[in-house]
Amino acid sequence: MADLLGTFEQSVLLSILNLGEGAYGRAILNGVQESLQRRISAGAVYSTLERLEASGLVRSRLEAGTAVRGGRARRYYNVPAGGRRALSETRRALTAIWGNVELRAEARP
Amino acid sequence: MESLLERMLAAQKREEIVGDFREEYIESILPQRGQLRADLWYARHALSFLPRAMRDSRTMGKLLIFISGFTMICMFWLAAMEMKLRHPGFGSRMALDICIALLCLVTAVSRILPSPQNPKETWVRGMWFLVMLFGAMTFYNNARAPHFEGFVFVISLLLIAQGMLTVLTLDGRKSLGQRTK
Repeated sequence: MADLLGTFEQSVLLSILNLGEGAYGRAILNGVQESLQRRISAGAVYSTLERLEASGLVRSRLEAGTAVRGGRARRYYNVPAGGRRALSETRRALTAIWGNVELRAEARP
Repeated sequence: MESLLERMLAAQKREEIVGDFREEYIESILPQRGQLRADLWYARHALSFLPRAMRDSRTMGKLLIFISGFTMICMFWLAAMEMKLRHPGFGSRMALDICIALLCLVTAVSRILPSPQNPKETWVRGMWFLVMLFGAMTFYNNARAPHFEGFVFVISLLLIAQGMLTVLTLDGRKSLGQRTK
């Protein structure tokens, strides 16, 4: 079985899936911050995207930029079958690990 | 600010990341936060690329290999001096010097071999973190000692510098390609 994806990697992949056709760097960063409910550094997100792409879990393509970007190209990302499979396996494994465990708040003395 | 960010990025990634930052800065951050806070936002995120820039930098890599070689020679010299002088407790000090020398050799090799073939950088960074602490303790003890040793001062600083450089430039994370089957 492949190793599980980390929380951050899952968040990045799910952000790409949620964004669909609009999944580019800036939008992915904002999506990850929203899902993790904390400030995330851009370096962490772009490094993760690079790593995921090197492993084939993410694909990217360059498209023409806009005037506000100074004409610089945008890189859009998508999750191919391998990435979706990795997410599914991670989810299945986490579900199996948690099983029927319920976490209750500790009773106060 | 853009030139700061551009310096942190590899050439092939520069265009789209700088474009993303400019877009976010102009459309979202500047209108919400004002000039000063927007610039701080930009600087914070630009500097977040620094660790990666250092790991990927060829200059830093060469510097790490050079310093590792120099530290290794210093440690073997110290071990030789311990063996010659044979002060009480020289055996353990000699063993420690040789271990640090071998760690320098492993560090240089870690940097020379490409990452996927060399998955042990995590423990090399860990060991150097310990050596860095040891160097800091030695520096402190020598500074407070009644008889200040110049070579101890130099070598302890070298160990601290080597430790910091190693921790920053070696990639402690294995690539996903090594983990995912």
